[in-house]
Amino acid sequence: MKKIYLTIIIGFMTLTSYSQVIADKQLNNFVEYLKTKNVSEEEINKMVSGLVENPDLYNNLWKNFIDQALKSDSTKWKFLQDLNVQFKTFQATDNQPSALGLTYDFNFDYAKFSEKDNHRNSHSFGLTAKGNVAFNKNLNPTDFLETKVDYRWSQFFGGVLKSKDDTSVFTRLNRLEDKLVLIKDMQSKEAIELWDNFSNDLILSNQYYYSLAPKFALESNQDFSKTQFTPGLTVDLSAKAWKKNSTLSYFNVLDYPFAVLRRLTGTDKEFTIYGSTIPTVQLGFDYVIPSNDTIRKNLTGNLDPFPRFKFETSFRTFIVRIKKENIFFNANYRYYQELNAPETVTKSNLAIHSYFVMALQSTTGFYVSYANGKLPFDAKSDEVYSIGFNYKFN
Amino acid sequence: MQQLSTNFDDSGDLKINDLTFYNALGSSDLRRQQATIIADQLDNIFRVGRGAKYESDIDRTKAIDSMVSILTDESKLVKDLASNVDDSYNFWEESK
Repeated sequence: MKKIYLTIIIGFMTLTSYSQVIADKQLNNFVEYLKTKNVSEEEINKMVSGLVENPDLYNNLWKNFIDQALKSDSTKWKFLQDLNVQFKTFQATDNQPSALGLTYDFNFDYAKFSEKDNHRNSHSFGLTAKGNVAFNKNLNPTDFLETKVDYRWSQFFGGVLKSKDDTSVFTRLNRLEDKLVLIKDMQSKEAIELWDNFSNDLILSNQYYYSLAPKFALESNQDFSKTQFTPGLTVDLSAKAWKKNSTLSYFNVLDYPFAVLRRLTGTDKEFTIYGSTIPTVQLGFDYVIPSNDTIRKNLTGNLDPFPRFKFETSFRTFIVRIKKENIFFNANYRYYQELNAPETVTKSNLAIHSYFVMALQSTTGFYVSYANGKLPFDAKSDEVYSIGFNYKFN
Repeated sequence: MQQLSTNFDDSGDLKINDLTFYNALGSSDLRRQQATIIADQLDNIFRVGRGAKYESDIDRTKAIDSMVSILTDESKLVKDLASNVDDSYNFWEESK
């Protein structure tokens, strides 16, 4: 099955006139090189098989395809810029074999932004598709796909305070910026002094954001043997404390351990909670209409619609800078709860689904991640570890 | 804005996913909203805090939308964002 996917990708390249399949050439060169070193055919086959199992190979092919497609006709293939695909190996901890697959995430929206005296608005229409696909569907640990269209109305408040003496402030800020551009060490005494002066003139404040989004979504597993429609309303809430040491920043409790790490490693000269990393929260109220779900039908005797609550939040913060390498901590949590679920559904542990994933990620793309839990349609809760590199695809 | 920790010379070559707001684990939906919040704040800083005006053929929708496009593209660099901002805003004391 994996080879079919490989063939399809190579096929994409061929169909779009990219006959020079670099990966094949490199593979042939590699095999020829091994032969000159008297490596046995059996060993060579083993090594090549290992490469075919490696998601890096597919990531390289996919990246190559996108690069070439955008180079040949950037208008025709522009949608690929909104599509994020990552090949990876899924590894659950219950002694199942690892599964090669991919994560896809497509997001497109059309937005209009306007502003009033004390707030800013936006209206947008969006299309989103995301999910995990394992090439062996039985080994997919997070078998949940979602495709949705939505309309979003958003408001923004605050962010920067208007100064009373605008023109002289703007000029002073320009002079300070001229000096800051020449600074090499942003933690030096001189830099800190300049930044202090800069922030005295550019007065940042708390920024608040909320949005309301009616939506219509299709949720399914990867072979569509389970599907459900989920019309609903999504509410997003966010606050950012841009000013250093503002009161709001102290509510960002998730950043406390990382503030300690930054202080201990000398990344920050003083204990500083990042108010800019306060997580954005998404609340969802869905009316779930199951259309194909034999497990639910067996449990409840019908496929009646039901209400569901959803919560999602993401957190990311900076930990340390080592030479030119930045290390970040990332986390994401999703929670789904069926409201007033029938007892049979509750007893089968299908009324509540939660999924948590966290990762350490470096500038060069290296990451170590850990995921735990289940999404709707997952029969059981899994722990999934992954390790590898992230690639840019365009 | 606590988004990067480098000097000006090094910052241009940073990728967007090196900025603190860019969480690859979150859904693209949440990531786009984070990018929009950052773009709104940059627009605030440029115009309210630094006295910039939109260029003649640019309005708020075009300015924010183009910033969000770059801020949601992990392969783009900070200097791509800077170039885009330069096209959208006429900064204080900047000659036209």
